[in-house]
Amino acid sequence: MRELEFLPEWYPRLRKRKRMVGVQTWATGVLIIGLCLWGWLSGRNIRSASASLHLLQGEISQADNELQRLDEALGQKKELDAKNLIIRKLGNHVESTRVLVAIESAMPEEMALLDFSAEVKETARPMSGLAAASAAQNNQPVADRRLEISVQGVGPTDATLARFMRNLGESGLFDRINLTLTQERVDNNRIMRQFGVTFGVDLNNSGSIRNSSGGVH
Amino acid sequence: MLRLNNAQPQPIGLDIGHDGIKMLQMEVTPGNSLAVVAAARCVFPGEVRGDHGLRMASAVDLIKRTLRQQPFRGREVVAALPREIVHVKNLRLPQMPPAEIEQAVQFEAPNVFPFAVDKAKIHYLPAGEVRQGADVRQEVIVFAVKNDDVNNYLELLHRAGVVVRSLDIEPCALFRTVDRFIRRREDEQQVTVLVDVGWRRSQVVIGRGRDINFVKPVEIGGHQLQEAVAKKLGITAEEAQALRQRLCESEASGEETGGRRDPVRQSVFDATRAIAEELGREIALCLRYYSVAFRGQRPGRLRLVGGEASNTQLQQILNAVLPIPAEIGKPLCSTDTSRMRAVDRQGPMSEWALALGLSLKMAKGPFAPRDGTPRDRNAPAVEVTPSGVQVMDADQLVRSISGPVGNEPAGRSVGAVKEPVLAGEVTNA
Repeated sequence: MRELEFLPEWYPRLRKRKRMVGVQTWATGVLIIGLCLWGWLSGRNIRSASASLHLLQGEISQADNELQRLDEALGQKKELDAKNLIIRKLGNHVESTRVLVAIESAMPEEMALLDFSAEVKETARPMSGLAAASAAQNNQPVADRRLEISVQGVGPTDATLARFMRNLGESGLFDRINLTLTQERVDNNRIMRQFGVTFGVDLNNSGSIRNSSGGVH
Repeated sequence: MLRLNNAQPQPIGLDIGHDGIKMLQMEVTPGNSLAVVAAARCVFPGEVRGDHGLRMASAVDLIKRTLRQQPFRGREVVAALPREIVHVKNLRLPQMPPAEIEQAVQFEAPNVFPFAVDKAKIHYLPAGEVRQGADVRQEVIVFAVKNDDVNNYLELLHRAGVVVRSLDIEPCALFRTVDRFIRRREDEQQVTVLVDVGWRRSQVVIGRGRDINFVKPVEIGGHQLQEAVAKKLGITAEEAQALRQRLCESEASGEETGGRRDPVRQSVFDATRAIAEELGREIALCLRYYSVAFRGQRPGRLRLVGGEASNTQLQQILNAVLPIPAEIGKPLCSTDTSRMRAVDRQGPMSEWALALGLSLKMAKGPFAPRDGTPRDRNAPAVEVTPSGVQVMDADQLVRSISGPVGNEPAGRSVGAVKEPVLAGEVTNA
């Protein structure tokens, strides 16, 4: 059968155009929504990056401050190292009064000192050539320094002398405590024991003296 | 539309009649058979039936509501142009190649239509060869519709929220219910007579095989039958309508009256007899013209379709008047109607013919019948006498033939007709 069509030609064109307008409207809507979404995401990313940047700037500022403080500390350390080197070269200074106080605290009450002498002795430290070069490069001391003390005193008995030597040893400040002399001595018809004791203080490691005696400055 | 199950839904066939609207959507199943997707039938209120404007406004509302409520797929429709705006003329042209017929029709159209055809849409159907004296001429049925009328109708449909896929005319849509089911070669020579009995008027469509040969509107419909019943029984039109419907339903359900003659039924029969016989005479004239004008097979039976087709009293009267048996058409008999409402599946469903034809416009066919197509193998195949009738209207065509109508013997042969007399306006193209 021959099919007849009475639909005007403009109607399919209108429908097609309407569909196109609809598609374009949808596409425009989708595009606008996409752009809005993209803009929003970009803004959010920018805000997030700004916050991160701000945080990083804070951290950098803080690191700069710390770096500045570190530089200052390094400067101080350098100064202290220089001082320390000088001190190590010169050795620790131990005040004689403090040594006397330490000896006096170790002495029993019935003992008396007759003679006191103290001198600093330096002994070259035996090193191989390489170790000596390394020590010289690191500004390390190459000699052992000691404060050698020699005292002579009198006491009523040998027990007093023994207690004195024990107190010296227990004080922790002195080492190499040696008895060099012991003999009787009569003074004003009183019989006493005269003795001589030598001991020393290691000036390379004088922290014990500083700690026990309030430090040496 | 491509679907996963391969069923192809067709556009909705939209039939806007005088009494209501019918919407039917079909789908072509993978087995190349047809199934109803959705169907809806709405009736106009009685007060709007007589007024064209009110009727169209009501149709818009009904279409909107139906689309919302019923499970139609999509909003594409194929609608039929109202008969009032479709002008039909028959032209007899000299024999010419088919390619030249279009030019000839366009050339002759300004002479035969009473309006400016440059502002109208003109289409034609080649009706076939007719003998005119010693000459053989080509008859064409020309349809013309004013552009303004089409645009107004489109605007109306647009207001209803549908997308118009195609605009058709009723005869083509009706005949498509036959055309799409022709599968055998011998069926392509079979003559089919369709009589669409509507609310306001009827129309006769006669075709051979896949081609329409004859179209004629008849100004008799169910409205006149209803008025006759109302006048005869002294009741209102609505009561008459309800009475006729009840009688049809009781006859369809096979209610027995115990051998007594139902006086009400008899009164209704008597009231509608004269009008039905008038309709029968008009149809008989059409059959006579067809038999005289066209060579080949004669029609073996007549199918009644449309809203008034299921009226068995009308069928009885037509059977008495016509030379060939009239049967009630069942356009949906080869389709799967399981998705239709039960109330719409009752009876022969002949009122769905136009909507079915419209819905099938985009489908090619032929479609497989659901349970086989019953065919009449004893249909008469007698050559008819050629005639020289020169008539341009279908109405004038059928009235140009004189002879006894409606009183044929029981054999009901229309082959022995008298030589027709030339009458009416003659337009030789």
